[in-house]
Amino acid sequence: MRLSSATIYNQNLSSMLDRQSEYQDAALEVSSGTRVSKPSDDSLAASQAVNVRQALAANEQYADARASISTSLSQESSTLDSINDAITSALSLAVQAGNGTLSDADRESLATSLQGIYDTLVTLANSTDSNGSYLFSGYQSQTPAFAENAAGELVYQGDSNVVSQQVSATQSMASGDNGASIFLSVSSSAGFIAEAGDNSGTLTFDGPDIADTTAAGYGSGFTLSFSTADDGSLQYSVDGADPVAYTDGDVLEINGLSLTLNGTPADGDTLTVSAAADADPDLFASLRTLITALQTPVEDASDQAALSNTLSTVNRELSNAQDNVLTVMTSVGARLSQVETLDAIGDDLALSYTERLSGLVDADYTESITRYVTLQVSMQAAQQTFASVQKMSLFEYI
Amino acid sequence: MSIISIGVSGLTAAQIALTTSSSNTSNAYTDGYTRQVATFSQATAGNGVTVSSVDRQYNQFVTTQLNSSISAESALSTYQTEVDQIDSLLADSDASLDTLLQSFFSSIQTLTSDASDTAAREEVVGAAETLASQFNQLGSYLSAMSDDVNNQIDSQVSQINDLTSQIAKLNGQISLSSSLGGASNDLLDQRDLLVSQLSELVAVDVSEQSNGSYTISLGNGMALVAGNNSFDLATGPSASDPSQVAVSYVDAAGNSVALSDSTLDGGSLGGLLDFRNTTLSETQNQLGLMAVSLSQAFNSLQAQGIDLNGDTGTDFFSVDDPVVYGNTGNTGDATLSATFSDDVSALTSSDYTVSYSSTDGFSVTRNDTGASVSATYDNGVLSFAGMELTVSGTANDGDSFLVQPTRNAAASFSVLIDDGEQIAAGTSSGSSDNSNALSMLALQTDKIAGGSTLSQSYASLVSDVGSTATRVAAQLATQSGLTEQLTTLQQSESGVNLDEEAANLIVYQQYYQSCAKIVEVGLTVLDTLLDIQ
Repeated sequence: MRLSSATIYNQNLSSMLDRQSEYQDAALEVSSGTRVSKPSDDSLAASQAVNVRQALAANEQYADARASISTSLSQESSTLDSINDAITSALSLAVQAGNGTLSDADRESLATSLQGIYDTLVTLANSTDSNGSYLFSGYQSQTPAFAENAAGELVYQGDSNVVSQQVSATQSMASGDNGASIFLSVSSSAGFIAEAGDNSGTLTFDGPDIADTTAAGYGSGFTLSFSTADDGSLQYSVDGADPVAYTDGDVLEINGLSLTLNGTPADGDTLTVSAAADADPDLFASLRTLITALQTPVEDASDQAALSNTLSTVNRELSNAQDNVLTVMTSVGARLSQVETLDAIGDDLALSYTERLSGLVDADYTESITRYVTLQVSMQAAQQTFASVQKMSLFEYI
Repeated sequence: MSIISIGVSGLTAAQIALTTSSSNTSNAYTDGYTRQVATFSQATAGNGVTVSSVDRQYNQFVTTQLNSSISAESALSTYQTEVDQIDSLLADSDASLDTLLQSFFSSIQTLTSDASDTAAREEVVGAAETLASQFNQLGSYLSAMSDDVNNQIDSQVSQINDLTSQIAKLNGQISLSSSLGGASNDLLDQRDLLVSQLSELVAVDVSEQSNGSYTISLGNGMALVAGNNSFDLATGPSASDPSQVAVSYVDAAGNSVALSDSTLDGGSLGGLLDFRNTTLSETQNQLGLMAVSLSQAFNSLQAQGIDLNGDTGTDFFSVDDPVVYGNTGNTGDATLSATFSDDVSALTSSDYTVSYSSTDGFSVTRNDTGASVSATYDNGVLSFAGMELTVSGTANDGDSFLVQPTRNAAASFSVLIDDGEQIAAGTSSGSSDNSNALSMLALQTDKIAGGSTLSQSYASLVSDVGSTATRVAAQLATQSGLTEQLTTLQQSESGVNLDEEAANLIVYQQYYQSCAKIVEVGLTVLDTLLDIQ
């Protein structure tokens, strides 16, 4: 076919320009290391890369959440450890206080030690994290968990919520526990508690122990009220029912619970038995009660009975409190180990996402450099061809 | 005697041939030049040679094919230039929209770990502002592209008008000179060059009349040039959307006839209109949809929560309300104003047309698919697709309104909260209550943007733009290849080959010398005769 001179020039020129532009693209790919930067480089890869980056970012967010939870749970764990130790010391002092040979002064010094433990527990209950937020106040993290009211009682000021965070795509986890669940609760295996009223007799008790879980009314508490019958004998009524005669050493079985009574109650004395959870559990109140009881001088048999009953009740309450703290510690431990597992999974996911992303958008250096060198050669060839073809003209020879 | 005149006829012929050849040589690289060939024919018996014509080597068929290929290529090339801008805009970088969205949600995650921490709250506000500014940048860049397209349409229409009036003038000159005998080749070349330039701007049909003038018309038959007259195209705001320039045809009587965008197919004008109706508006709407969904979702959560000061949360983000344009051809006086409802899950990236008929009342269709959309009309308020339109005034039968829900949303997306304390992270007054913030975090993976998550929405935008750019580039490469082939074909007939012309120069030079020799011989013969005593 006949070619015009303009055609020859344009074809060679455009060929050379095309090679140059391809060469430039290859050079850019080698220098940036990225195959896909604009969507048009590979639209499918670019859009998948958006989704992979999103997954990677979400994965990182969960990792951050886990790191933060890990920190707060670790701090909580060590605080709970100290609380547990304090309760253990309190329990051993309470047991010591039960020794009949102690004098008022001895009990006074036990009370002083217990006061120290009480103050330590208050400080631990009001622990703060590195930001100054209270650990055990639920959502009210700027308010101390426990504070004394006007009557000198320690009151919980937090709420019943727990801050939770999203630790994986499907799971959220509580990053702590609130003061109510640690200090004002008992675990599900806590059993029953008997508490003597403000008695003037010498009634003491043993128990209550669980006798028959299938009995009717099992689980509900009851109150024994003692009175003197017309004939001077002692009797008691259960929750206002008809009075039953009382004898020293009686073993009562009510609502599936067995209770051993000793001593001589006075008219109007009471004994209340309730499930531990219904008895307003409060570690601090229990310690307060114990301290007050130890500071009260024992002058007569009824004082002795009162002290013995108080020690009986408080011992049980402190044991329940310790069990509760241990239960919370177990749950904290379980959460920490779950976080570790999720961390391992999260790390694997991050690696696989990063690899996938790299496969989508990064340049394969071997391929890119080979292309670059090949194009360089073809561009040089195009340039040389252009120069030599343009030189050929019949006008050179006439 | 006759020998001399024969020789002289040869010299004249040789001179014309040499002139033609020189003209070809000097115009070898001139745009639109058609090579000319001198045709020798025997003069009336015994009188030597004459140049019967200097023919222009022109092939109408190939030229028509080439012009239509140029139109298609120009349309694709214009489209590519525009689409590549959006392509670069969406290129991955540290400041791309999806990266900033992830930073924003990451800052919210930090907030959930300690909702009482004012530093974490301030970071959320900061990340939100960075995100908003990126939305704004993208939105205003696309807006500026839209304005630029309008300007380009204006300038191209005036170029078209310029070319058609020049062609009309040449038509007159050519038909005049052909009636005087012999059309001038350079006028013909000029006119063909103008037609080729016109084809780059818009696809036209050319037909040659018997008197040699070209009739040039648009695809729908409306003539741009007929004989010595040219008819202009005009630009003005579109009847349905005043923010866009539309092209109309001004006929002989001076009436403007609006041209639909599909009539102006091909050429860079066609490419611009196509780009504006597809990729540009789709991109603007899709980004806007993301902005509206994010804004509405966050604002609903804020209203359900309590901030650090104990007050109910106020709006976090704001976007402009949907835009409604009444068609300029409406006869009623109804105006519609639109707001977003609280639930925008039914909102899409399409524009909507609301039409009123006296029999059916208001009906709504989607502009991208033409499908009708169910709408409820209650007490003067028309609700559909996550919007509520309040009608004031009365509409007449046939009135229509264009609703653009998300066109300007990205450019107008802004953060209303300036203080971290206003973030409603909790649902109670507890300072580290993060329950509402956890719901905000969940928005990252909830399908809030027209049935997809924010990230999926962005990914599909990236995929659309990328695949369009790739497709246009491929189509352009194919079309360019075709244009090149047709050009080579056209040039093979009409182009100048310098080697050929060099050969011709040698031949005609020799020819001239030979004819000069004949004259010399003739003179010698005459001298010999005159010397006889």
